[in-house]
Amino acid sequence: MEVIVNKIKHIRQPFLFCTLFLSLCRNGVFLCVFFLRLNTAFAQNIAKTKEFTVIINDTTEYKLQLAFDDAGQPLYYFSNLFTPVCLTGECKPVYINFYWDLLGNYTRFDFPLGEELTRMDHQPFKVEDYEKLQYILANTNSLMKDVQMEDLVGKGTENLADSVDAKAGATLKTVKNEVIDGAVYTCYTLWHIAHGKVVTEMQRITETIRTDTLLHRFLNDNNHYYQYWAMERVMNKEGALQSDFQVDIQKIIRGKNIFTARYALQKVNSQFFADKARQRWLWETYQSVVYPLQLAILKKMAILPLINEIAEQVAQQVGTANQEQARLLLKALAGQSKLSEPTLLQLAAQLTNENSAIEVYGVLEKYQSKNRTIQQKMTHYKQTLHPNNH
Amino acid sequence: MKLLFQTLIFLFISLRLSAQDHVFLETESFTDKGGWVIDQQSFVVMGSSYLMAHGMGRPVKDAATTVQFPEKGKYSIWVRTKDWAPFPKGPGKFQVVLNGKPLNQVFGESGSDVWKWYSGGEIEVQNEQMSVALRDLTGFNGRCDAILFTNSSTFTPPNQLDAMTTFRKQQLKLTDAPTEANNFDLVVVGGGIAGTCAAISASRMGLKVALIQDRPILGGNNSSEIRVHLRGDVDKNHYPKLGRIVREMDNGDPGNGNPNAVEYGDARKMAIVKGERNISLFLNTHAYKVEKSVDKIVAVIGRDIATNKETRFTGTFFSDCTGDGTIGELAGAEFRIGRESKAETGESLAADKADNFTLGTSNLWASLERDTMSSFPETPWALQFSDEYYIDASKADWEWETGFGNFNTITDAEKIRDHNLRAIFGNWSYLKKNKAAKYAKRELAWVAYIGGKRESRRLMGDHVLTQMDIQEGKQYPDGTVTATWTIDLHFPDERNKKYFEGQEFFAGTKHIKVAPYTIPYRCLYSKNISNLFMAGRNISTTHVAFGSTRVMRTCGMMGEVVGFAAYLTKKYNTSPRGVYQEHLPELMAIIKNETPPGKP
Repeated sequence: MEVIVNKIKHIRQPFLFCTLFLSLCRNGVFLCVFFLRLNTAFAQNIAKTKEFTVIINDTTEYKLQLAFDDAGQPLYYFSNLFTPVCLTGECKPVYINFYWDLLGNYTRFDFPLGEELTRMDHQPFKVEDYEKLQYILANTNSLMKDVQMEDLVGKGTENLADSVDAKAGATLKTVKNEVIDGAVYTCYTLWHIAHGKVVTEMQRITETIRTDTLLHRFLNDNNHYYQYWAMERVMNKEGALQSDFQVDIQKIIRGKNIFTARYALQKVNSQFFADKARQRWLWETYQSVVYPLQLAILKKMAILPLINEIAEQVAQQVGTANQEQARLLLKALAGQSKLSEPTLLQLAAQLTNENSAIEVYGVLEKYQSKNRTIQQKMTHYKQTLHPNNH
Repeated sequence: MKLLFQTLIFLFISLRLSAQDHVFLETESFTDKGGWVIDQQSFVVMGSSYLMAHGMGRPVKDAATTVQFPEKGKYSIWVRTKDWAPFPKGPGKFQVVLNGKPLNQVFGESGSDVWKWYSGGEIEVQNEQMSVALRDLTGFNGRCDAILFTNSSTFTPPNQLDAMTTFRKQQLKLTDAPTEANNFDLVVVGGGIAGTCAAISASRMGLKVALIQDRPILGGNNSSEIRVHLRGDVDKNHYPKLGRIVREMDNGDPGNGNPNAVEYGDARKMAIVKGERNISLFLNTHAYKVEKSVDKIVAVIGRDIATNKETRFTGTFFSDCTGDGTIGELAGAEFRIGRESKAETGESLAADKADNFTLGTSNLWASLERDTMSSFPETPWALQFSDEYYIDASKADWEWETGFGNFNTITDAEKIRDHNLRAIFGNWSYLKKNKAAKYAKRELAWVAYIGGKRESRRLMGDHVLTQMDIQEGKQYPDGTVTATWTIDLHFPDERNKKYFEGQEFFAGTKHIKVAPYTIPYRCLYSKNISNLFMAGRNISTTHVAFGSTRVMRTCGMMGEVVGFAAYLTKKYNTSPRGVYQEHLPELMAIIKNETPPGKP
């Protein structure tokens, strides 16, 4: 067996053990991952760490570190890994440090001092190879997720197999984008560590250290994974929100990320917008946010009992809105058990607006106002403007 | 007495009518298009082309023309336009400029995406000649179909399609007798790779051919207007003679969406066709009407996408290479659109239930690194992105694709293109503003305004190619074109779907590899229109099989076969089906490059 090593003095022992272990395996292709040591040089700005032993592949274990700051708040996970990358009897050692966020999302890698990656031909990785490796490892939807190693490389090599496109169900060009030719097994091995069983383990650990402080921190973080995770935990299935987190949710709805904003808005139940102040806040939000979120707000308003003041402003807005907005604004009004006279007057004033007059008339008909001005405008619309519409 | 009274009434009405003067301007006919471009992609739903200001965020130069008024006086102005991105109000703003002075109204920001006439107020015409210009205000695809000046203050031009079509025809003075082109042996409609190869092939077999293309250049999806590279192999052919014309057309592989237009070889394609003595090339001509006699097409009528002049093409045989199966559909050819069910076709890859799902349309784009930093306008009307989801790309590839059954690939072509533009511009604006380290010096170099359409109608032939034909490698006696591309059926990318459900613009695929197989000749002619061939994506296949046959080198070879078969239809005065039934050995001999067998 040819052994390829860079720093023999550092890795000899675990590597020999691995070789021994490998020889016990019938299958020549097997992934071994061993914890080597904690290298504090790569755990900067952390006050302390907590160590967990993680099992993968039912047989091998390694150490996962959870880093904390001075205040005792968890920061991220990392692991100083030693993994032999082995293929059909050939192995080479890889020392690498992996970092994940608190929900097990891979973030980056670096190396213990003096370590590096090589291709199968012993050539060290170039800067662009490392950049590509980061791109590959950061891709949660990599095609490596669903293919077997044997499907990717030629026998006993780290080079892409001739038939790789057939096996991977993608074009050769796509496959090439997702691996480093000459280091395919390295990419494959590392990707499956970064996105392997360890991820659920980290999520499980974080769940055990969940506190309200952590939830507040998560809700206000730029990391959307944290925000979604925390939202799931501060709202129940019906969207009832724990009162301590109301401000956090409002911040998300007005935040920069349209996707978390929309999710928060859709998830939180209508009770949240029952009080006057928050309804005013929602309407103010409507005026300032991007169009897709405006539509989400209008859809939310359709299931809210609107206070008179807001209903009136909604009616007023019909005239300046585009067709889709007008439709949703009117839907919100039509969903109310009753509308105030000023609101209905506002609406009646929109009967001259060609774009939405039919729908406006429909809403007015529903509320059967006895106000003479409203009735006159409705009659005028019906008789003079659109006699055939109703 | 009664007759006299009626005559007087008639004369009175006629006088009234003649007193009402309309001056109707089709914008696509403006003498100087400036930086505006002609878009004919929605002809089937609008009955016209229009001008569009495709400036990628920078206002384009004015389009201008000169108008002759019948007399001086007061005229009302009407402008036919739409707000293409009313979210809530679109960016396609423009003004109409008369004799150098813009009207007060700004058009294209009405909040309604329906093509309509908008009043531009009244003007006093003091000189019979007037210059009219369209002034783009944004560079973001403002568009204008037509402008009407009328001296009737009570006249409102029609918005309903039928009435508008009639009105348009009256104003354009399009009679029922268009200019006659010569009579042809073969009229090929569609100047993409399939159509161009069909025309060349037939021409080289000595047929008199008309090649009708609705754009100013040839090549279709492989032209510099769309920039999709040629796929499918020509070096694994069962019959090596096929693919010769495709090779001539092939300008090398610049990939998809290369920023350099020259790479796609428009000039090469044009030169090859111009070199064919037997081909009469009709560019800028959209074929929109057919004349039939029983089960035969007699003629097709085309309208020039700029001048609106109409031409009538008569022919013995026709080949539908439109991609959309336009001619077949107009002639009543049997066709399918969307997916068949497993029960119907027996294909394992077919949908459980038949539906309208089609593959989408791509508007490719590319950016280039410049020496200096640049900015890009805010695009609140476009799709919105955040750090959580955006596309980190400096150019497009095939994945940029809209229209997976949520839009009709033919009737919603404009909406599909516009949705692609909203994705491109929205994402680009996001990258420029938020990812400066990578994109500050990059600038959009090119964005396609012509959609690269993958799927539409499939015209049914005597054989319908299926997944089983492909995967079992059935070699029918009339197996001709060798196809090699995977069964490549796109679907919305999962992440894209999560963030833009119902508005997906990014595709995924799963390539199902196939061994080289042959496409039967019977897939290349209509089963019920007796003189209609087809080549390209609209041949007779199931949706699943289409996933493999649809690539352009393969489509080009279909055209080559159509040219050979058309030669035999003429030689034996028979039909495309007659060639299969009576002269298949001779067709195969031509394809095999062998001496045809002796006539029985």
